[in-house]
Amino acid sequence: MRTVRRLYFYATAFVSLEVVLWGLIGLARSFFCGRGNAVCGTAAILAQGLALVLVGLPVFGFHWWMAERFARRDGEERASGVRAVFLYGALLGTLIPIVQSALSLLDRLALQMVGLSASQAMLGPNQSWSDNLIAIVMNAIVAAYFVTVLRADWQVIAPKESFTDIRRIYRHVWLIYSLVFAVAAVQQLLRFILNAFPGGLSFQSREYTGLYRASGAHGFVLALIGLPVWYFAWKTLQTALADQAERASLLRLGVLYLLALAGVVSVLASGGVLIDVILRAVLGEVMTVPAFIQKLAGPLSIGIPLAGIWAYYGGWLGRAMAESAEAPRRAGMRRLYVYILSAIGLGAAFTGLALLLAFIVDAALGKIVWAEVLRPRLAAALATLSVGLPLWWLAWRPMQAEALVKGDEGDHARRSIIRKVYLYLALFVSVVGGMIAAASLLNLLLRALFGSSVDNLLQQVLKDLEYLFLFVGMGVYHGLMLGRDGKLASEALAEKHAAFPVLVFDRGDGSFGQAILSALHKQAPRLPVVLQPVDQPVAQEAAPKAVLVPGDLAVDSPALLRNWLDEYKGSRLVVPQAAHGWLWTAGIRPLPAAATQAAQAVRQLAEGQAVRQQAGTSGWMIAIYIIAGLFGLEILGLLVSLGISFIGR
Amino acid sequence: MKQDRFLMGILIFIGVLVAAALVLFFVRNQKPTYGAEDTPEGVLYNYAVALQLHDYKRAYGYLAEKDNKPTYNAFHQAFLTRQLDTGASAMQIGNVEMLESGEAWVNVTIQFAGNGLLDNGWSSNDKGTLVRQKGAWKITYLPNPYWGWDWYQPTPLPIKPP
Repeated sequence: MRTVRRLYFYATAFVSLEVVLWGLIGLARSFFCGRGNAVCGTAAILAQGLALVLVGLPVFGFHWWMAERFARRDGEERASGVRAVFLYGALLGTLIPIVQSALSLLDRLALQMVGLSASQAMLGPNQSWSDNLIAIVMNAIVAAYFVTVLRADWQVIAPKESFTDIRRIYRHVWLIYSLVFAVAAVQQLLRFILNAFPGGLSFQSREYTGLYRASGAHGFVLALIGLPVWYFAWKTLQTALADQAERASLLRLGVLYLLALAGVVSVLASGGVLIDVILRAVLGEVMTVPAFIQKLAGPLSIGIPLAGIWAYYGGWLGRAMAESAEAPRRAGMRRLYVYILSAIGLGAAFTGLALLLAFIVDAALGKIVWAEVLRPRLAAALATLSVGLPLWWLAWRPMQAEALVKGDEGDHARRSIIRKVYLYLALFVSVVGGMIAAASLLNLLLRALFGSSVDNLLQQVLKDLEYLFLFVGMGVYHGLMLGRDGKLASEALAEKHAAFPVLVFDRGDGSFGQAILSALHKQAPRLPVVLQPVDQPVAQEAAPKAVLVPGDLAVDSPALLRNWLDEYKGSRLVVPQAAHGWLWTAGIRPLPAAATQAAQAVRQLAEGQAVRQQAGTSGWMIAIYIIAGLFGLEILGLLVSLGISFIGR
Repeated sequence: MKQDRFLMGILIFIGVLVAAALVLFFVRNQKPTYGAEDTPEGVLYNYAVALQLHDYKRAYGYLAEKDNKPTYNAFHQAFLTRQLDTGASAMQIGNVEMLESGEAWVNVTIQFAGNGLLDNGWSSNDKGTLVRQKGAWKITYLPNPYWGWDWYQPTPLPIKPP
């Protein structure tokens, strides 16, 4: 209830704050009318500003006053996550417009300095210096107020977890926001430099050179604003690393993953475009040197800054992974990164191969007047392949080598959930893609068989066969890897099972013991099991790692069994069984089901896993299953419609 | 080791494909040659070849004689000014349907070059129509960029003031 109330007050206060703030900015801007300001003008601007202020001010005043009153009265309220979101949100909502306004102002100045029109500005081309300055001053006043509120809160709040979490998000927002600026700055400057290459602009028109001068101006201003903001944001995050909670933060790790992967993908995409341009030139496309350089300028200007991001943040990601104390966790983090790269590489290599095969089929069989299409098609296929294949090769091979190692290390790699998801995902895509390709092929053949006119039948059949072949190849390969993983894992597990002797106590009629023996044999055939009648002493040489006792014997044990169990140091598992005078509050399952559950627990113990004692499935799990089922249905529907569209083409 | 052989096999297969594609490229990247033109598809093929070779006189000769046929100058200008640009597209000829009216419909696929990485370009399926005139097949319609939208269209007359 209190959370809902909080949400209402802070959400309303935030919206009304923005209304008041921008109303005030509008009002202030109207004071500067008549000086050639295109934005302001007339009574309309004054009326709009006044309306916003007159409506927003009482709403904001009331809700903020109430929120402050609750916060002063109640420490929990003051330390709540909702308040933290509001305060840091208010800071973002005021500081980002300051940066944007400064950028707009400086960009127009820079453009005018290089002799270009201010209308080419990236932001607010129609604004005036007064518009930007007013926005900066007004937002700065509000930001300063909320900084003081935040500082006061930090001094008194306890616990600080919510504020710490939100502040971490706030800092990372600044990091990503400023990085976008920094990358854009380098990209624009490189574009300007590469196009100013000697002779590069000599053949260009005046308008065209203007475009690149604008790039230079934009780049300079973006660097002027973006680099200090990025430096400050990153330095703040680095300084905060003195705190263990910051170092262990999943958000930080997630952002590092995101930045490193975004860097990799962008660099590879830029590299691919670069290779495509070079291949076209090598394959004989007529290009002058300046035109060639100009074509390279685009991908180079994007690729170089993002290569920097990849190298820098990839390094920090590596350090963050190395800081993890547990070796399996460290290996798991590395695996996630490499398998994502492998998946991207596999996708690109698959696409490149498909393009190449389609090219071969068309070029070999098609009666086509190619004109200038032959070259770009081959270049695109080779460029895609030359980016995707090495990436897949470099990422996949170490992961595969790791999974082929025998022993614990290999076991961890093979049983890794990330590897399983990767392999099953590849298998899923292969099966679904193969189904679509097979259906499309069959449809084509049946159409031809039923006498329908099909253009270039052989060519189309070969193209569908090509996809079928590629999907089947990918599926078979990944299926084989899954099978091999399973085989190696079961060999390793069988060794563990063989080294885990188990003793099963039985009252004497044999029904319990036989049920358990049968269940254990199904779960772990190599597990050594001995059936022990309860009225006979346990052999001296027996050294079971676990014992299974029926519930009725556990609550009413004969002295012989009780004494032996008192001395026993291994795992003791009790299988619930009806006992006279005893009620089992968690219920009793019929013997075959109870035996299966007990055998599962024994297998888990033999494999060194923790045994889950909670019975049944929770309501939440059922809800998750239902949601997953609904999503699954949606995806299935999508795939079916995709298949139908292929068949019906 | 076995694993390495499997992966090496994949690489060798891809290498063979790349080599085959390069061979095909250099074979197909020759100057196209004219073929027989006693069929509708042959005429369409030769028309596309003539445009690729910038042999506009010959290409113009494949156009049907009908009302409002563009003049040679207008035809030539359309390609010269790149109003029609056949350089960035390929034409594939498909099946032919002979109509009782004596007209021939030929399925054509126009392929356009892509923008590079991950992009094979796009294609559109359309029809070319031909009629038999003086014992030879002549083109009456083709899709863009092999045909100007205003060809064979009557020139609108100016509206007389009341």
